[in-house]
Amino acid sequence: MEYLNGVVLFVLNRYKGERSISAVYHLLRGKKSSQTIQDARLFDVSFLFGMLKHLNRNQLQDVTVNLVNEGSLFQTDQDRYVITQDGNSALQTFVSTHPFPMHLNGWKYHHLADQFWQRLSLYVQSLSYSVHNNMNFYPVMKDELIQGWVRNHFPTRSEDRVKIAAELYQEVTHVLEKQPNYLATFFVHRLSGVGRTGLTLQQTATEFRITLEEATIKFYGVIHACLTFIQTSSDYPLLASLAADEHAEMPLTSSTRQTYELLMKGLTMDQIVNKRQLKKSTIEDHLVEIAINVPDFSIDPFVTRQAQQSIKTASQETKSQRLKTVKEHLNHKYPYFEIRLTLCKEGVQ
Amino acid sequence: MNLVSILYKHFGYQKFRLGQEEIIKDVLEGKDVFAMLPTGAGKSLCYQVPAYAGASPVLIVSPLVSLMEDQVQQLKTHGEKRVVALNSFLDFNKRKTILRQLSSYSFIYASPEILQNRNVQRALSQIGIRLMVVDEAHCVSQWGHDFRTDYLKLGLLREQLGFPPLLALTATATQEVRQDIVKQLQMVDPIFHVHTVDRPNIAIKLEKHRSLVEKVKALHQYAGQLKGPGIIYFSSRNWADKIARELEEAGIGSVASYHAGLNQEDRLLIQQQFLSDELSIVCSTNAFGMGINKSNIRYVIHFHPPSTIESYLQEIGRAGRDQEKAIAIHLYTEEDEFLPLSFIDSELPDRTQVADVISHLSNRIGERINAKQYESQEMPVGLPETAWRLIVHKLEVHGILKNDIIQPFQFNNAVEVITSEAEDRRKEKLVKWKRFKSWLEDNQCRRNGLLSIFRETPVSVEDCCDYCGFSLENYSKDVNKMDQHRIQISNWKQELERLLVVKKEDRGEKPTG
Repeated sequence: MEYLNGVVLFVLNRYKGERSISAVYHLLRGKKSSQTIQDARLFDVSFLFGMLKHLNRNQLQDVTVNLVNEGSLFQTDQDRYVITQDGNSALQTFVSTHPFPMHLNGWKYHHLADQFWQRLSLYVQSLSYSVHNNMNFYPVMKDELIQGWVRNHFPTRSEDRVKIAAELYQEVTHVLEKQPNYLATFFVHRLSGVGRTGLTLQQTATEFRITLEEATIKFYGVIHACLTFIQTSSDYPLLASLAADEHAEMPLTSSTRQTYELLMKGLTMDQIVNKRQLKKSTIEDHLVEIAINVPDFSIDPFVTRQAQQSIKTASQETKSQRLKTVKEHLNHKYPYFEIRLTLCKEGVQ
Repeated sequence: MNLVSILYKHFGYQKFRLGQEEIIKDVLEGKDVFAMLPTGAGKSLCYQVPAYAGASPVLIVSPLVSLMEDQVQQLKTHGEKRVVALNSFLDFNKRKTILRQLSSYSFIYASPEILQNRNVQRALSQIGIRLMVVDEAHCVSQWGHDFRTDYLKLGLLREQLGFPPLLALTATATQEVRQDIVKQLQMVDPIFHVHTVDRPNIAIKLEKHRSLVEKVKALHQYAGQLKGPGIIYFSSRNWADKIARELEEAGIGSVASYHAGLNQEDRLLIQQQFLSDELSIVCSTNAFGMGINKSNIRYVIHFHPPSTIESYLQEIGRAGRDQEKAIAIHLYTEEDEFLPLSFIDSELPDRTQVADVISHLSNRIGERINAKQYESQEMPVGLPETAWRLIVHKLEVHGILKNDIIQPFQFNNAVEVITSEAEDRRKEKLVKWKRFKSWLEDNQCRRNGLLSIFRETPVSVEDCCDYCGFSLENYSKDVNKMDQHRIQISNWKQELERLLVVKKEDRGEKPTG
């Protein structure tokens, strides 16, 4: 089975016909909406969050048509599908022949992974050239922030460079040794240095005769493994420094960031509505985004503890994350905004 | 210090190439200079050396961000730290910081768009620019093949900067374009250094096919036979991707496609693979090449036609910069004509589109519009950016848009005037395309055909063109030699070790830098 077909089948199977094909799309592209994030958690697919950022609607459409035609999916509603018996056995085969990388965790690492890779890639390249006494190279990363970071963390003395390069070799080797051999080989193809330029993901995919989607997920699998090891062991000081997010850019959209800054200054919601001349509902959306993305953000000023408790209980009792169901169950005692905020805060914990 | 020692000290060359030194001397004497040097002849040295000889800071206006970044990178690789690029990709804070310390830079690259910003203008006028360079100066002229409306405002900017000497650089400009450039940039008694557009080491072959299928077949054959590295030009991303895949599957070597659809990381990787001879062929849209300084490209094939002679020359000019033999092959069919024609149509607004935009603006008289931000405009659907830019430019010329504020205007007149001006541009472009097309069909020496368009005297070279005759074998692969290849990784650990680990005894001398 085509890799992408397998992934879509996997997610649809987890969604049990309760979510539309759009939900699959948003999950794989990593849409930071409360609904997508709640779904990811509820149906235990958050490890795939944002793992195929370039997926487009047409591609997904083709995959679904394919899966229906081969009898793996059954369409229940305009945008909904359930997996058939045949589909189930096809999925079993897919999962055993194409297991997801062990450490893949899209939701946990989506804000760190790309930056980590960009630093690692440029750091390896720069070290490689410098220990071979050759500083005449074109950097593989052009982003000023990434270049600045590498420059600031680059050892100045040449003996140190040799030492650090050897240590980096050790750390990367340790991570890769814990991966299947072909995955380690795959990953090294992407690194650049003296005598060889790294391959693009597409080129690596071609080289390994797999699709771009499979290559993307395998690649993130290795990056996420690095990030996991860094967290659980102190044996990777260099990799840990590459992953450190000192200027912790919270993944907020710029308008939400402004709202967040005003909140931090102590303004109330109504004051922010006035000051920013935006609709109340817009500011409410910002709050939901903040609740999702800022781990230690407390929603208590907006929803009383008691209300939060009732809402959580209602969600458990109805076994539903649907705002409407919960609201009705509570006899419309709380507005949508409070239910949304509570459920998505709950969803990310 | 004399010029040759500057050249050696900063760039490592022992001597100047043809024409460079004369241009540099005139620039250093403070004259206005117009220089036309063939692609790859080392145009940038013509202002870099003067900067080291005292004409600093220098402002370099450059039309393409990628080109600019490449120049900056090259200077940095040569150890120059006082170099900066100002373009709209800079975020606001970064730009502010740079502008505050602008006087600490010797080389200031800037896009024409950003030069319209008042803060940028003010900062530049305070630091005493000693030399203003307009790179790709043909963009100033609407007769040129790559007209940019923002270039027209450079004359005004020059006055604001206290009228520093100006150096206009281009690789290809016909007589009329040259005159237009001089006029638009208000150059005073300019000295012309016009070198031939001819690249005697590039053989030219035109090859007509009866059908697309045959053309594809011929392309496969050439890609298999010719000695690389080579570039193949296409008009669309899809074609570039498709042929790259086909060629690689056919085992012709390592082939990659390159176009604006790739993300920046992939673009850099592919550029670099190409530069370091890890790729044999790049299948590209015309996005590739600007700023690529690779000396050993052995062939350029056009699978789709460029829309002007000038673009054609620029694209084939990427081959053979090392002065070794190279070849340019143009494959075409009768149907190819529709491509440039539809491109020209899509680039320029028609009457309905002009009327749509104007009627939209007529409801907003007195409002401010941010004309630079095409995406943020709520404009009629499907209006291409180039068409939008042309309309904005005309609105400014006719005083309907003043300092981004819409002035009262008469609807019908505005539509009429702008439509007819767009129509004129369309005609000019058609003329340019027709000129290319008639060159394709002329029964004469290809090289001298090109030269005659630039009013140059005919030449005669060995291995000239398909009309004069040449032997394709001179450009064929050496079957016993692998020219471009990638390192194959069989053992990942060894490869990682090769990249990062050096043993003390292998390490030889300490680096000096």
